[in-house]
Amino acid sequence: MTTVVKDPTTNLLRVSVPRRIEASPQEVFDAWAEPELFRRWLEPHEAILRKAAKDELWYWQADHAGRLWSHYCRYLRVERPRVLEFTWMSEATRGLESRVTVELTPSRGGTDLVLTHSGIPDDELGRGHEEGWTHFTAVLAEKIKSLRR
Amino acid sequence: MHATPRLDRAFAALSDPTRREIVGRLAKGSARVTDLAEPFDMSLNAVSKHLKVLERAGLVQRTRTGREHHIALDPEPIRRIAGWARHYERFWNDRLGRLEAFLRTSRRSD
Repeated sequence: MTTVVKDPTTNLLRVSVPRRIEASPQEVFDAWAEPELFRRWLEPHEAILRKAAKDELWYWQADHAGRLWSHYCRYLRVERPRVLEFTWMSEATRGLESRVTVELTPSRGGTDLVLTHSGIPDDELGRGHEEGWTHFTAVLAEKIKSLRR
Repeated sequence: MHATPRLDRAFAALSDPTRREIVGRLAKGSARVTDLAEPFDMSLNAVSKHLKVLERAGLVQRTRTGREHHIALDPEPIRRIAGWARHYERFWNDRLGRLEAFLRTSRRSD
């Protein structure tokens, strides 16, 4: 199950998304680490991707939720086939260097993947109480619309 | 994203503009039922009905002091779906779904 946790000292959020994948950890790792494979499922609008190596930089533009989002990333840990970690900066992180860790564990002939995105600023705290609530209701209105569809 | 029955109730309760306004008012602080009825030009009875819907959805809590009913917001159901954390949760679920599909098809063609 997906979890969201708030670090009580920094007030930054951590999102964990687990996923079972019917492929070996090596195959899953390469799908992230090899630019030509990565591009095929990341489906970037635009991207400058490099073979994953420590401190290598990469850039991509995501077409998500009806608009484009620019992302600036740097590989921190490249340990085939178990761990891939990179920084993640975008408008949504408010310029903060958040961190994405992809952990791969072999399991029953496949892979248990856990993606953890940490250091995400908590938007609702960044705003005033009232403004934050306006934001909430906007989020809700959008959500309600999508439920009705 | 999997909406739980509780979240579904919260969404349904907040689909009404009057109830969204009540929630907006309560975001500034708890209030008496009579205070909540005032700006809406509504009978106490009508406001009570809206409050019951919000209560059942777990969005507000009621405490009684003598004859007065105080209503306070319980933001937890809303908090759970707000902010960038949810944005990223949706985002990563979406991308990991694509990764999975990609590996499935590339395996078949091997």
